[in-house]
Amino acid sequence: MSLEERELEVLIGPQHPASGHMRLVAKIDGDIVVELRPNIGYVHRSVEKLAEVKKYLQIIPLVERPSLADTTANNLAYVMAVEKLLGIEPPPRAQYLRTLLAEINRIHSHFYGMGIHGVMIGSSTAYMWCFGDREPLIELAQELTGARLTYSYIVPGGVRRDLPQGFEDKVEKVMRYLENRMPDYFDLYFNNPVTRARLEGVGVLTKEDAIKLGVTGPNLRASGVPYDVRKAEPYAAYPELDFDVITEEAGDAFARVMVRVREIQESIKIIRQVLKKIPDGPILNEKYMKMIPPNLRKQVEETGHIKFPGVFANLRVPAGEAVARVEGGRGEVVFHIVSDGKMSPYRMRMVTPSFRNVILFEHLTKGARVADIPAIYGSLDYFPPEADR
Amino acid sequence: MKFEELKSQIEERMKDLGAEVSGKEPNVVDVKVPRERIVEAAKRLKEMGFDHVKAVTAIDYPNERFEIVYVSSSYSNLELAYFIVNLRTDLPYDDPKMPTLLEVWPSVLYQEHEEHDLMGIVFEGHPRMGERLLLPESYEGIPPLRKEFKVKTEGINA
Repeated sequence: MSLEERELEVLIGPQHPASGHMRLVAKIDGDIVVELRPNIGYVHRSVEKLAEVKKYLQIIPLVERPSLADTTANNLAYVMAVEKLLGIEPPPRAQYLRTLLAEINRIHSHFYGMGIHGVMIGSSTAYMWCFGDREPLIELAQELTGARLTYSYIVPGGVRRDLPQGFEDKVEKVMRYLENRMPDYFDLYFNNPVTRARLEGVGVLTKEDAIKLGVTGPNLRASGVPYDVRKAEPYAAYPELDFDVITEEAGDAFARVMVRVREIQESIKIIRQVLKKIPDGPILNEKYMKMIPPNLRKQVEETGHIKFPGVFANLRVPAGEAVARVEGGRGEVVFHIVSDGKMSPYRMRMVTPSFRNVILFEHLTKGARVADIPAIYGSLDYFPPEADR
Repeated sequence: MKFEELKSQIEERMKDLGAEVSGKEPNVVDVKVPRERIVEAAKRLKEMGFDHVKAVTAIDYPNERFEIVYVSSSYSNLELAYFIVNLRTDLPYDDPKMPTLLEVWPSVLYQEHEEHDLMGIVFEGHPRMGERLLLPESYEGIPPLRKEFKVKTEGINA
């Protein structure tokens, strides 16, 4: 038989094959993938177009939603781009609070990714554990922001709420729980010979290819590239905090998971420093604080909950252009905003980590076994709605 | 590396390409070249260490021009990673075509494809021109990211 006759086209999806609606079109020869093309766009919601008809504040929830588990990065990167155009800086306490939420979010986003990966390679336990252990983090975020996933916590010039009372103790409790819990994951999952056999040496991405293809986040660092926006162009409170950029050398599916696990440990370190070092003071830029009517301002001071100044409703952003980037759980989020001085951006480009990483589907699956497709897919922490936007 | 130092280095490298180099402190350099020089300009940026593209933004100025911006930076040189270089070019409104930069920066594969799909820009030499990426295959009509395409809203003011 000729190769053409032997070759078979297999459609995986588009009805939620793994972490969201997308289709993988695989050409296979026996058990080997000859070529695989991701077919995306099933959950495209035209965020960039909608941003052109929405006001600046309304865009915050719009940009968060595609990412579901990793929303703080989108919220922060968008607001940082707007702040660059406004020429506004948040006060130091707000910078620390942004960092705090970003790291809480990073941990639960990593658990989400690892859990989905677990179930994709057949470990329901890993899935249940990760989704269970994500919960304490979500509860912390909820207490801080009032929402479980889409926080809209970060606003131009600051954040919406101050630390709730007794929050530090709760955070510490969760951090201790995580530290005690992580060894269980190694005993049952990461050091399990079945897991190792499914992930080690599978979907290897070399350092050169990782750079060339412009992939991002843990997928990049697992191939030995020490690029992390928190170090490359430090923002929020990161310049004042001590942490390491986690890298692995192997570049395989296991290395990608290990980067996430080790980043959770690093985030715990960051969160503790944030709570120790967080300075007193306002959580919204003085300029906006002054615009809140005096009786409401008193209420803001008492409760720590910001009431938006009237100017926010029709926020006008000076004409110009800004690029902002943030290291989210899944990787680098980039916003490129062009403003013509009106109440909506003239053009808003939003590039999410999943959209940067989608190229890996075709790159890593070439010559792989069909059974390795889920192992590779899962290791990328790829999220279709985030890629499609 | 200092901002001014990088800016003048880029100016030096791009001089013969008719490039306009400007910048925004502390870390953004804009390089504007005519479209026939953009592949060469991209090659030179890559030689300097700008090894990947973070975003390709197409901007529609109706009946006037399209502006294409390649937001690039470095992974292999961490000193350069702090900087962002926007490589830009203008395309005439009635002829929104330019050569693809895929040969120089493989990382633009999906990004150029998206701007083709949603903004109707043609990247000559890109293997996926004419294919849909995010839109349904059956879509016909104005590329939706163009200003000409109006979003229908619901509610009181619709």
